[in-house]
Amino acid sequence: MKTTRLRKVGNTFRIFLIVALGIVFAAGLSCYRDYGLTTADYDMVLTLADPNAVFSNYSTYALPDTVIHPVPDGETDDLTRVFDSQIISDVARNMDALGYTRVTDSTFSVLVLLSAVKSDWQVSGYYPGGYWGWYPWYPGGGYYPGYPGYGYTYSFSTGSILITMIDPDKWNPDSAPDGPVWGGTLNGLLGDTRAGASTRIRNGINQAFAQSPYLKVN
Amino acid sequence: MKKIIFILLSLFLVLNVFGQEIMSGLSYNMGMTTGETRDFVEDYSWRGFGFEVRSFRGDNFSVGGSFSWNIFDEKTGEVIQLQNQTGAVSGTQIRTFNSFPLMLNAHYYFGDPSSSIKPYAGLNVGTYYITQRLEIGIFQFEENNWHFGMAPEIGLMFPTYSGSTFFVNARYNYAFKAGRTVGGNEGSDWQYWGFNVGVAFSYNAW
Repeated sequence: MKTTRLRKVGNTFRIFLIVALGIVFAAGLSCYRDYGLTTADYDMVLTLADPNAVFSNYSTYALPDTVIHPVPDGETDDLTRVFDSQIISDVARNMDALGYTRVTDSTFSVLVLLSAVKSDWQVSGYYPGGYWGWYPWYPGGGYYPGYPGYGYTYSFSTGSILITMIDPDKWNPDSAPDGPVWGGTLNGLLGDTRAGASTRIRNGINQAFAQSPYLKVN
Repeated sequence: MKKIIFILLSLFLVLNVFGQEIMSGLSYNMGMTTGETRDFVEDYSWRGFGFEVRSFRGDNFSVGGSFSWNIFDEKTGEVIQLQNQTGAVSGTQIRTFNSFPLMLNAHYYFGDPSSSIKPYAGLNVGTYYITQRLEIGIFQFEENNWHFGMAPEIGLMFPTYSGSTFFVNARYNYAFKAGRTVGGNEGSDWQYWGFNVGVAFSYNAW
């Protein structure tokens, strides 16, 4: 009788020990680990292309010397413009490296637009505005050119930079945007030191072209 | 929830109605993904634990149940090619999946029961609750699904004179397709090797 009772006490202790060990071990685990991400870790580069576009057909490109901030008429934003010249030169450098030739007249075969987005914003939005007037060769129309997604709507976080490549022969200014043949977006304008932002922007632009190997003349 | 209650009730009945000698144990679980699962997370998992109960039917056979938790994750900058569109997404990604197998099992033990090393083989059958998460940029995508699955197993037991037993085993976990993935596609199956080491205690049924 005594032996049986001792055995039961022993069993209870062992079960308690196992359950306690399990609880202690489980408490030390977490479903999701904290990797201690930095600002740069939150950067993302998205590229989309028109699957029917033949990029080797585009030999020349126009790249206006402006980074537009698409806001409705009468509104402004306070996004910095200190990186505008760097953005333009970084995009031009990548385009040149792929074999495209930059031109400054209306003989271009694609137009490259650069934009900076202030806040959550969808490219499908209609922005009747005079900002298109900044582009002497812009084909016109009230729609922002958007992404070559055909029916998709994309949102961008504050501080995003958009690179949009437009084929003017496909552009229909009176309907939803369908002229863009390539688009890339990246982060970097906010949340960092000037030097850090500069590096992130450069890395993002380079990555947008690197992950689009179909962009080349030959 | 009904599934969980059904499984736990079945487990309870198996262990208490037919139980003779009972062995319960705790294990430290590690894992290595295989197959398509490896496309999502490649890093070896060092995080996991398991709880297991076996009811012996004679010297060479046991039935039981187990619950475990394996965490697989990695930080990667791999470029994601978009499906159904020409495009790609890149950026730092945290890819994580948690696997919670809740299984019934049967094991056969080879050789002399009094041996100091007892090799065994078994099969686990049950459900896996799997949470999949992809974090990229400021975005986070998550899918949680129940899967039916099974896990063949081989292992070694090292009984001691004090009644405790150390064990090591390897399980090939296979959770069948269910639900959807974080990419919005039809669910994929999940496959990984589980490598477990632990300690168990034996005692007679209540």
